[in-house]
Amino acid sequence: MADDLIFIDSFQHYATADGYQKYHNPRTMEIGSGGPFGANCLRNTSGSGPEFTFSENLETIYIGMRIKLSLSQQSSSFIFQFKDAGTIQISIAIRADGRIAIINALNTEVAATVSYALFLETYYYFEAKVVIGNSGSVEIKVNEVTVLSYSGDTQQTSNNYATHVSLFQTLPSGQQRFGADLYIHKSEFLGDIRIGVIRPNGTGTHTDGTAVGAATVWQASDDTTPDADSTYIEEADEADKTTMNMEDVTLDGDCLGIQVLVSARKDNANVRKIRVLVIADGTEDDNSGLEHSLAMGYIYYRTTYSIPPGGGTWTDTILDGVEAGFEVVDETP
Amino acid sequence: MAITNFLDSFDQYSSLSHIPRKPWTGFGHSSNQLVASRFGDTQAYQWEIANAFEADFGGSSTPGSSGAGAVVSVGFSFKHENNVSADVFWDGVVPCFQVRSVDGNFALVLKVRPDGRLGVHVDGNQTYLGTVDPQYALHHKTWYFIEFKAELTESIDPATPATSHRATFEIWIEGQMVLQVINFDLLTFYTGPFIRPSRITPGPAMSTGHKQQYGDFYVLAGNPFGCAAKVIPLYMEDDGFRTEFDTPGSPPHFQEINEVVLNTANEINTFGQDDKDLFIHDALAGVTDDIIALQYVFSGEESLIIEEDDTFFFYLTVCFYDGIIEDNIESAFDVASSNEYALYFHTVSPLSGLPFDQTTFNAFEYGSMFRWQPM
Repeated sequence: MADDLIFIDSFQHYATADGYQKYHNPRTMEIGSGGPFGANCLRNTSGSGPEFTFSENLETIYIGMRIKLSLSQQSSSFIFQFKDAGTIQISIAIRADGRIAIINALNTEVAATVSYALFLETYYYFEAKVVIGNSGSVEIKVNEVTVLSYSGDTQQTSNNYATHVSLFQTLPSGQQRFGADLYIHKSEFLGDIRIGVIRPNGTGTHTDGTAVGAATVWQASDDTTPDADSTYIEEADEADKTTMNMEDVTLDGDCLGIQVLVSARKDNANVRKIRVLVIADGTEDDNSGLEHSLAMGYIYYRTTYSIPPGGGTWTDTILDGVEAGFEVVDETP
Repeated sequence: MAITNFLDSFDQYSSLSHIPRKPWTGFGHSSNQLVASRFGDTQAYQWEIANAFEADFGGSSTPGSSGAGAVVSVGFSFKHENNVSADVFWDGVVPCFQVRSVDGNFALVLKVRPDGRLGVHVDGNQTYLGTVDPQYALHHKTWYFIEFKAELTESIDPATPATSHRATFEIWIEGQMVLQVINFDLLTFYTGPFIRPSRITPGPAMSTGHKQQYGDFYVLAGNPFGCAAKVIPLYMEDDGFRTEFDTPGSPPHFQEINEVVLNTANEINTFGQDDKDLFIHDALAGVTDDIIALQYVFSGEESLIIEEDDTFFFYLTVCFYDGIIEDNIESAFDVASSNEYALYFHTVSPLSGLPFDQTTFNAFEYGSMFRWQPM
């Protein structure tokens, strides 16, 4: 079942060259040091950051990302741009004076903070709720406090929705931008959150896959960053399943959701499909109806859970027992 | 004139200048190039700018009168490649395929939208007739196998008998149909004369900053295969059941014509009526999936001068041998005065009428039979 949590990104489990696996258009995104907690982050030192296409056309979008602007800026710095195909619907930017602005498709500022400005070289948790429409709205929170609200036209095309969001559009001259802890949600602000990465660390319930380049399936897929065909799990037959136990985690607060990512490709022509598998608290979810037809290149196929597949809330105990993996659904026309 | 069924792996070319020898009518901008394919072991074709690379499949020069539809399906592996202006990449809407009418004035355009989704519209009007769902958005720098079916028919509305047309089209990604639009009324978008798909134009529009790569190409007058196909070249491996042509030297016949790239220096030749040469081709190995289409490619050149009466028609037919039965097709491939590829496309064995599998295909011999007759 589709979850209202659409996407999260820690920017800590892949390298710059892997950006296309996660974003439909990575543009000149970089993954590198400088994150808020000493880990890697999204960096933008030239061009533009990545573009993410939603899994459905969205009228209402909640988005949050920890952001930092470095060095001086001479013009408005676009943090989020919401687009319908190639047309901007509405943009959110940090002005050269540090104030937060809402800018429409005609590049006209329609609202801006008066007494609130962001400092350079400081991470803020930056969130926005955007409703696309001729009578739309934008609400912006910084560190969970609403700092700007706007009601008015947020729609440029004939459609009252956005198809994708551009992060860090067009870097202003002389500036650098950093991002971390990104979420995109359909129905609520998540607040100032952290996003961590847990990797496989043990064999799971299903063991049909064969490890290639490693002793076990989990060792073939516990890569710090994707290692392409160096170590991987091979499954050839329909209904083959592999699940792996995941690293334990100690929560420092509530867990608002998880995202399971499977980086996969097929190795020859014809149709090959997979489903993402999750086992949590004794419930297995095979994401029936969400088959992914694989391309020749590695792509991250994902599924998100705001709550465990069997219901309830995510707890340390449930997370410690989580298994993740995939099943081959092989269809030959 | 029927649309020509056609396969292209792009492996028989060592330079752009070879490409027009197949049905392609041009190779576009000089920046276009041959690059590694999605499997890394064969070639693909990269369009950098220009949309001048077209295949003209004839089509009717007379506006249709029956109201019957014409269906064309194309399949190709496709990748959007990055370049130095990546920060503006996909900020424009990039056409990747067009099916044009015989007069070129109408085109149904398949595009990659900035959000990575494939959409279809009529050339000259940016309103999409259909767009695939967001979950099927294409990722940058990743090979996909895409199929596009277009069917264009005259309107059955008596109020607009000559000016209204309807389009049915489908988009498939990796063997999965992701969009189907049936009988879309084109009246809002096109009021010109009868339209019939007759040309395809791959490649981006004339603008900088876009690179698209294509491989594993097929064109079919009919419904798409619904597949994720690989087109591979096979070459002559040995002499076959017949060796009636001559060789200028003494090598086996197959060594004269097993060229990866068309080589006019080596040849087999004959002037004997009904002379045949058959060949054993490279064997397929490890193929467990369907063999859904085949294309026999050969090249002939008329080099004969008859002083007394130069009014003969020289032609080749394709002949076959499956180890038991020998036959040839009736269609004649005219032998021109310069080397050009001739193509014989088929989906089943021309002898048994059954689909090939690896075993039956490996036992199958292709060749040519020479004929001439007074004009």
